[in-house]
Amino acid sequence: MAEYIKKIEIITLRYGKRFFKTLFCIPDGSCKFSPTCSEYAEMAVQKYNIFKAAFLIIWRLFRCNPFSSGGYDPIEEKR
Amino acid sequence: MLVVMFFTSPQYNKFFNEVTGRKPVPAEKGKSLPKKEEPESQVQIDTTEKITPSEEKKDSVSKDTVIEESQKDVEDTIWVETENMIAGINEKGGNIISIKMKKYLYTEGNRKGEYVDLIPQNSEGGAQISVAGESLKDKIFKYNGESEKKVEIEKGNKKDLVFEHTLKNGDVIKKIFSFMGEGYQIGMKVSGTQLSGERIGVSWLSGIEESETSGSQPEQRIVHYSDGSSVQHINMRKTEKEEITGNYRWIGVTSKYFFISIVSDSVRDADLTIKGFETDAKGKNRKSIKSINYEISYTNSANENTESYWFYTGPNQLETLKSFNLKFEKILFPVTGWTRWFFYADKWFPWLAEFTLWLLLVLYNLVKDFGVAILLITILSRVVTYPMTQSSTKSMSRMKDIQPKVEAIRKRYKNNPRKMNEEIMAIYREEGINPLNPGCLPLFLQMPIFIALFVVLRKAIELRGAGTWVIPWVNDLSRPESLISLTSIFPQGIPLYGTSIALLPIIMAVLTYFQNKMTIKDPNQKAMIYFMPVFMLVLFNNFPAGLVLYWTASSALGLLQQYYIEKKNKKSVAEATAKKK
Repeated sequence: MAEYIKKIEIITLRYGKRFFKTLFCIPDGSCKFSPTCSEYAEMAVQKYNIFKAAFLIIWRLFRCNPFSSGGYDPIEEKR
Repeated sequence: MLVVMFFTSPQYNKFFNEVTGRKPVPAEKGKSLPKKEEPESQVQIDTTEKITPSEEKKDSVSKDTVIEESQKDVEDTIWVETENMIAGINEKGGNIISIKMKKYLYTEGNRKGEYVDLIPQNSEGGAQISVAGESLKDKIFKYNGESEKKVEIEKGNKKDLVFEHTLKNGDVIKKIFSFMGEGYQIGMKVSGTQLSGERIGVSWLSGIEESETSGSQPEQRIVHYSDGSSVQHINMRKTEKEEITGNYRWIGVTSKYFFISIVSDSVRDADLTIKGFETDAKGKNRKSIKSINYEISYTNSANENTESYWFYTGPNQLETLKSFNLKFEKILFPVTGWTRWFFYADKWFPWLAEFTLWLLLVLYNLVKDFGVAILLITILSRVVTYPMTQSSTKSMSRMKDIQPKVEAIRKRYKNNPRKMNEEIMAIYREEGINPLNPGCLPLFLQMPIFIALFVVLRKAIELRGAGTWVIPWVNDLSRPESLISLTSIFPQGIPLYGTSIALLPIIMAVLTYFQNKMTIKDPNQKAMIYFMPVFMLVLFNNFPAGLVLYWTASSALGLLQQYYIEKKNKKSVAEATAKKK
């Protein structure tokens, strides 16, 4: 059951991301972070419950700004 | 991401108005198939015929045409016609049972072409009063005027209509309605011989009727009330009762395009009672119509025997609402529910949406065509966000070009993330990409503007019935476009897609296809290139044409921007490699 929910979450995430990227004309593979935001999001969803994952993802998107240096930012080290 | 996604998606907008899980009704059903589908039309008519209310009410509705027929012992309805509206006041309770908007007609349904009536048919109506907790809504208030039951008021003139009721103890209570030749105000004075110091309540028991039957949400659950400087909104559930005490000036409820409000002449200590209920009437989906009634009561000052109020009963037009200086305009874009907590949306979003609407109207006044105004505002929003998006898009494009190299490094140092990172950073340096690349946050800053335009184009009454030469086959930008109706082949419409083919969403889908083709490089996601356009097509097919026009233009401009940046980048990359050699 939980697995199915995770799967649904990930599929929603993928389609949502695509919708989002289409909306804002964001090309693939342009993330300044590694792993990319999408990979990060999927990892977060797999690892944590939906609320924490959502929080982590939003926080990550926020850090994707001119004042952060980007680079290596895996999910394991966070919290 | 999910949240953000939700916020951008049209679902947000539905949520914005707190739809109770109802799918949008496909457009045109009632219009193109009035006779064929018995049950459907039955449901529509039943508001007038199926429910049999008390005799006199029925009588009062049809009274409009049959004034000569003298019906003794039955309460009469007095009809008042001004420049903008026709109001009907019934002697039973002295209640306003009909307010017809002369400037707005129904665009669909079985009343198509008639004046929009703000009050539900066969309802109790509005403007009921109560004295010291006792409601006088069913008592007879005799019209104290000429025998003529039809009053016409010319522009610039004013007229008072007096309705009297004698209480058991002999006191006389008067309801004095005053109408002006223009505008959307109805004044009401309550006066009596023994009213000083009494608690007097005014209520509007019928709520407001939704004027649009399709494509929009049929039920409104938001009540607005204000102390004259700030406006509160509450979302009512089905059978909830809310009681609020404080200093308030007005209370009202909106439909998609119209607003009815009870306004007191000053801010005073008031009790507000708001009740959600279900009426006997059934809506299009055979669901009970949910409605709201509300009451505002004040204690009359000790040496006064009168109490004055007025009602606003009219369209949600920005200019009109603003002209009262009572913050009426805040009813246009309320932020309720959990969205309030989204970056304090209730603080800045109404302002942004209001500004957007204002700008749209300014542009309209310049070009006199809403289609062109929408195009202009689209271009403007792109220009405003250009500095934000340009640097982001630019560096993103560059990064995309070197992606194969990065990918290779990632594979090579799979087991050593630290080393991988160093290598990737080295590549960035080598290619002259600023490690301080703006990232995608600047792009997200466009979002509020997107959403504001989205909401404005859905809710602006100014767009109702407005055509444009930009897309000449559309005669109403506030309704879904329908180029070819499918009802003859699929009477129920195609699931999800709807009952008609619209051209703009198709153009939009094609644009999306090209855009995705340009941006999707991941081979695992190739299917998305085909999925997204179909998704967009289905999503936008039942959206208001003005909104689709905006979205199409916006994505066309985005595509153009992307295309030029990519072209430029290719050139500069080629130059750079040439230099190296």
